[in-house]
Amino acid sequence: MTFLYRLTITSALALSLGACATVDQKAAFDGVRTTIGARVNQDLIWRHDTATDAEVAAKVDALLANEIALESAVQIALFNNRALQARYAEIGIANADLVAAGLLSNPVLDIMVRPTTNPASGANLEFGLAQSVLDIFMRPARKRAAQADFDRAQGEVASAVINTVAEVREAYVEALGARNSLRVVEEVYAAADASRDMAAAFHSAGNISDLQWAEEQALTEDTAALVDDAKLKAVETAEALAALLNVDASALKLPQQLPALPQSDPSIANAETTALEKRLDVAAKRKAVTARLETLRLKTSWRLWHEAGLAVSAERDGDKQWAIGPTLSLSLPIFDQGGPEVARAAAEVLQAENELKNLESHVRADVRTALAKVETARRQAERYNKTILPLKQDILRLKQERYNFMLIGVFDVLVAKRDETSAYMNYVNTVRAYWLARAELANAIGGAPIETPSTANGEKQ
Amino acid sequence: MTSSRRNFFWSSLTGLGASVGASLVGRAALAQDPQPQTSAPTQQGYTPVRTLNGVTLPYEMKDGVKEFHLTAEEFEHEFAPGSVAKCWGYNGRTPGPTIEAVEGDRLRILVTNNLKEHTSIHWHGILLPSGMDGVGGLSQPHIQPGETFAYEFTLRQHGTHMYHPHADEMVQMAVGMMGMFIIHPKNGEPKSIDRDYVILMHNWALHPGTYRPDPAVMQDFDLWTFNSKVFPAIEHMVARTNERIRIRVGNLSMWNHPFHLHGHQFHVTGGDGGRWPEAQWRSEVTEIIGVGQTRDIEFVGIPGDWAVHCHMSHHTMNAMGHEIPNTLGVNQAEAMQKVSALLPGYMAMGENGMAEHQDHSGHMKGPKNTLPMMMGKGPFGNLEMGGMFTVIKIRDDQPTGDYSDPGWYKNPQGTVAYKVSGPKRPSKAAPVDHSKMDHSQMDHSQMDHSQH
Ligand SMILES: [Cu+2]
Repeated sequence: MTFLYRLTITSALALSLGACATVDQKAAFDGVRTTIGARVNQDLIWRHDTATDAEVAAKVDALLANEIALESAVQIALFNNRALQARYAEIGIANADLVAAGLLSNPVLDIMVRPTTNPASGANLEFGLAQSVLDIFMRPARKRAAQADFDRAQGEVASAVINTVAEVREAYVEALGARNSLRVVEEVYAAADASRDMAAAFHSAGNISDLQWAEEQALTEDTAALVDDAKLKAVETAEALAALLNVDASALKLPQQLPALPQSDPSIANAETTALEKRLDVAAKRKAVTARLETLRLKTSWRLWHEAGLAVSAERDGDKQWAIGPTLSLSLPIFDQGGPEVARAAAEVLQAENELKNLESHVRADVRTALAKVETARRQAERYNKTILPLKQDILRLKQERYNFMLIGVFDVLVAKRDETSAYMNYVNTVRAYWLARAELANAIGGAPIETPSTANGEKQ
Repeated sequence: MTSSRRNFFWSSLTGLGASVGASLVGRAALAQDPQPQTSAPTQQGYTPVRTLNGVTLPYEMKDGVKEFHLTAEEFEHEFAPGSVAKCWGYNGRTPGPTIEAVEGDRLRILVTNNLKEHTSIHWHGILLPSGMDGVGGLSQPHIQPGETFAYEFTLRQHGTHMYHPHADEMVQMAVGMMGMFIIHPKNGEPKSIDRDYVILMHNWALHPGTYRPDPAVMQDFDLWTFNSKVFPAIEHMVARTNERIRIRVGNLSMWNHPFHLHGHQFHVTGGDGGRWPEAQWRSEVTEIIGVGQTRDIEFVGIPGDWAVHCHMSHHTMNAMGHEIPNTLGVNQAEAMQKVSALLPGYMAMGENGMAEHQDHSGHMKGPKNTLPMMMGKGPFGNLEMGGMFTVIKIRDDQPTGDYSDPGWYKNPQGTVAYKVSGPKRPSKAAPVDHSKMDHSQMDHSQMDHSQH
């Protein structure tokens, strides 16, 4: 009886210390959303069962029905990007680890039956129930370490979300930029094509030589090759975006043009400090340092005691009398006094601390670089929009005036038309560079909600 | 240039100019032009010259010396309404006023330099002391800005001569510094001259859309001028039938110009080397006036409206492109579809020739400050000319000494080329009957004279 009683006590103790092994994965995933906060406005859904999966698929289809704005592209990716969904599963894993860390190691039951030569005295029986004492004492610390690990995992998944948003942003800008460029290159081609038609008329009248005619055709064909390049680029970039969104590229209704620059750039006070506060990779690295410090503390406190066991044993000898008593087993710190493990933990702390400092230095540089890119791209886009394009249009108009007065020929006017269109192409490239820089900046400061540009990038006149 | 302005040119040529004299640009030019509409022989017995669109430099007699005053300066010059430029010249004009004197006269010519660089004046072809020859640095110190120099010499010859700077000559001549210097014989002309016209030919690199002649150009000039004007802003010459007419032509441009007179055989009677003996006179209808030369041609007037022009056909055009693709015979109809989509307002031109350009340039905008390549309208239609072109109008009833415009020639019955066959013309293009011209459609109120 006593044995049974004691056994019960031990088990109850163990259970009360954390055997409630239910793993709440939903709560763990919600934590990711909380971590991300205002950095991303879109919904996050972990497609962890068939019902949710169907529900999300319907939402994706609904979004695909309309022209894809950047926000909806991001939303589709958050719903549909399978790499992200795989990362969501990491939360589940870390969460399970965290729960496991809260459990005591299970007690060990020894049963020994030793039959004797004397049949009258029966078998010699021995029962023992042992529980690691150290395990019980180290449990809170171990839990803290596991919690830190979980936090880190959660941070990393949140980072993955933000990275995916950044990737979608970039891919979206690239895809629109390529479509926009294609349209402009087609206009450049139209000018070359018209010039060729004109040259054909001059050639058949006998007024330009085979040489000039061949040159004119070659120029047009060169331009046609540019159109091919631009078409391929449009396909490549659309496919890259579609892959991130995990949809068929043909299902994406993309706008024809990049949005125009907003009136002003977002003003970010103390951008570098903000980035260090907001960036999840920095936060994760900080937590890694904390976790390693905890490990070091643990290793230092328990350096001598690698194993300590407390057990109850009961023995029935030949006289059929039970003998019951506690047993203590202890690893004696004679040879290994835990020094190497402590040293290792301390080195790991140093490692993590330096990695953090390195990351912080890169974050600052990233922020400064991204700010410079935004500023430069704006200046260039505005220069094209407000100065170069109007000048090219003036040049075209003035060339036409010269044509009117027989000062130059039609080919020169068409060249001016081509130049004007090429300048528009450069403008499109600066707008593209601007939005890429904005994406880079958003990423550098640890994520920022997507700003909805109000106007489309103005139609070329 | 507005179309009303261009109408103004045409109206000048269609006879409207009659009321304001021989000037093709009407009262605007008159304001600048103090030449009287009539003239008579002077006290010294010569018929004063008429410098088309120009003036004769007045003088003061001081102790028996004719004192003239030329001021070198910059000003805005008009080649024809619609094209002006910052030019240099004398007394506010290019060519400078014509100096007119008589063999044996003692002259003092004061030259004030209001330019920002030094200058000098060389008296081209005139016999004088070496120190009066005007070659800066060789014959005399340069005339610095703000300085006035006097040239003083006695005329020992007669003939048609010129004056121009001989200091930074390439630049100063390219932007308009030049003038004519006429010396009449002291004993009168062997054959008395009734009308004595002066033309100085020049070329200008006034590139389309610019406002200052470019001195660096050696061959590709944009404007070819008689007395720094282009057709149709060059004055008509006027004479009475059977009058003896002399045209003195100088050339300070960078091209030789075959000077051509319609309807007459003229005699070349002299050059800057002096009057030729009558035995050396040559009968010509075209005389090449070499660079730096002058020639006098003389003829007896035959009634009519006769063209007078340089025979280099590009010299009777205003600014045009010389590298343009040749559109003759090119049917652009097929290509037009694509081109029109790219270039709204584009008009295919030149398939059947360039004559249509004169009408197109009336409604199609050209570069600023640039004259259409071909201009001018006569009693029968467009003249399609520019540059070195004008008309001499000789009439049976033109009063002696009267230089006012008699209007277009009234051809005697049966003396105009006539149509024998061919498709019926649209009524719009029917030959213009001068007497029935309707001027009411010309809007004179919109003419812009503000540039004069
Ligand atoms: Cu010529």
